Amino acid sequence: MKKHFRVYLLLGSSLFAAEPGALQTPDTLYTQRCRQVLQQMDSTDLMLVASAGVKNRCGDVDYPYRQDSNMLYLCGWRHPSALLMLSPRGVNVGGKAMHTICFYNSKALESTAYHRPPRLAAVCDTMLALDRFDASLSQALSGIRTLYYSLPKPVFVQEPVTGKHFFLDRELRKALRNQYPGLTIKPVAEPLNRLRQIKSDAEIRLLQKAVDITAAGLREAIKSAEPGMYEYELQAVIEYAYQRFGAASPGFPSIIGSGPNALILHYDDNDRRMQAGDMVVMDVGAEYNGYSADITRTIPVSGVFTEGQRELYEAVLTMQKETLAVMKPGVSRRAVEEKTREVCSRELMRLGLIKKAEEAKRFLPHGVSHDIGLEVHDVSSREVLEVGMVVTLEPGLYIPADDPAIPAKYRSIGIRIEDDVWIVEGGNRVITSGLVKEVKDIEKLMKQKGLGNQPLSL
Amino acid sequence: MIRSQYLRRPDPTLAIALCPIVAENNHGLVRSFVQRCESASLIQEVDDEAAMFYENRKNQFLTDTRANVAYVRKTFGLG
Repeated sequence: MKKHFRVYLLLGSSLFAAEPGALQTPDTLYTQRCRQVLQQMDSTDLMLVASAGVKNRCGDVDYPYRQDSNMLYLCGWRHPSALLMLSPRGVNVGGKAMHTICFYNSKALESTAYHRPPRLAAVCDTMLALDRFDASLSQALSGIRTLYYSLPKPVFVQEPVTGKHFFLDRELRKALRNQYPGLTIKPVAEPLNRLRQIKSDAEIRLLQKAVDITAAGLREAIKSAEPGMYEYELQAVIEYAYQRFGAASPGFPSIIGSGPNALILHYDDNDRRMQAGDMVVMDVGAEYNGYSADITRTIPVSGVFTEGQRELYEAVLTMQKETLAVMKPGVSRRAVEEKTREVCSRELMRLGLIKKAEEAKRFLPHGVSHDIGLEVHDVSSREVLEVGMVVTLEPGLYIPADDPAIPAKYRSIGIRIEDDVWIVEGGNRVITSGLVKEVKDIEKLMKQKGLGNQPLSL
Repeated sequence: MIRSQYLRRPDPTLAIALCPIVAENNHGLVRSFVQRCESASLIQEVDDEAAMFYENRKNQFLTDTRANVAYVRKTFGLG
């Protein structure tokens, strides 16, 4: 009883324990999203969204917790051991039909010497302790034909000694079907992905903040870079900005690849000492209030592009600019990809690196665009660009070191330029445009000293 | 961050859907396949859709496991 009294006292409080001035998702937006999902469902549907699990590192030490993105999207609840239930028909709680119910671990609300208790959301019709979940589910599932539910990740486990594979989702389906014959189980992605892909103004503001923080870090890294530094020193400068400006963490492992490492697409060892004449690819993104930026800049470690580096860099920049010009509502993702590849082929032929257009794929072996949002590779179910989508555009060129047919000035160079693009009526807006990417601007910025050049001794 | 090329392949959902079948038949291929998919976050990305896809077509897949293994091998370039 005492616990529940505390719950209701907290219901009106702010959703997140944010610092004053920090951007937040308004509670009204969560309510609106839940309503949109409920409107898409039939009265014989029920949806359950579970908190992500805690990943244990050792003993009583866990890895940093990251909430399931669907849970964040629908109610902003940031803690483990919770379930969100959405019922168009309503579940009877205290004589009233509740459509959105959050079941939470009531023990987590007890403040201890070790953990601060979570704040509760005011976005659900009601919040109930988890020990009431079983009874509520039995009641809620009566007459339900379709249950939308996805297990928290990972759904697949491989036991290393025997090599046996366990597909948890398959087991769950079996168990639920045994218990509720005739029940169809569908992934929550079905109704949620299309909603998540179109960003509201509030989400754009959060993404812009994540972008601005990332850009601040990259700007300092560009100023700091010099031969003799280690890749991880640039990473430290960038991630310092994340913490300095209130971003929780990187949205993905920072990629700082210099010299030959620039050719490794998901390189994140970041432990090479950079040399004069290297290019360094910095592919990074801060996560702010759940939303992740994704920006890549490539710079010459010495502060000045060599002739070969500049020619390749200008080619990538041209690919990006000409592709940006076609990105608008109604254009398919395939058309975006094809435009980049068309310009890529043209530029590589101009530089004498290829003779036929189809040879270009060798030097651009990856896709050039994906959605961003609550995940750096956000949900994606629409094949055509629509107003409100935010996607990356990230062409690159990767020239191997060991091909004598390639002019020496181009060999062993990896370049990628990535910006984040908000699709708006009639066109797009590059929300990362505040960060330099022209050759002359990069060289000018690199003449300055940055945070990474400050003396610091062990 | 580049989205892994595995997701650019023609039909990753199908390949993931085949995983349980390959596993049930104790084929050594599945281990390297799954490891590569995991490192590419493929399983996390498409598991929901794959589960549905698998459920809808499992009878069809079960009739010709060898062809399915060949498909996975071809699609993902596993030797």
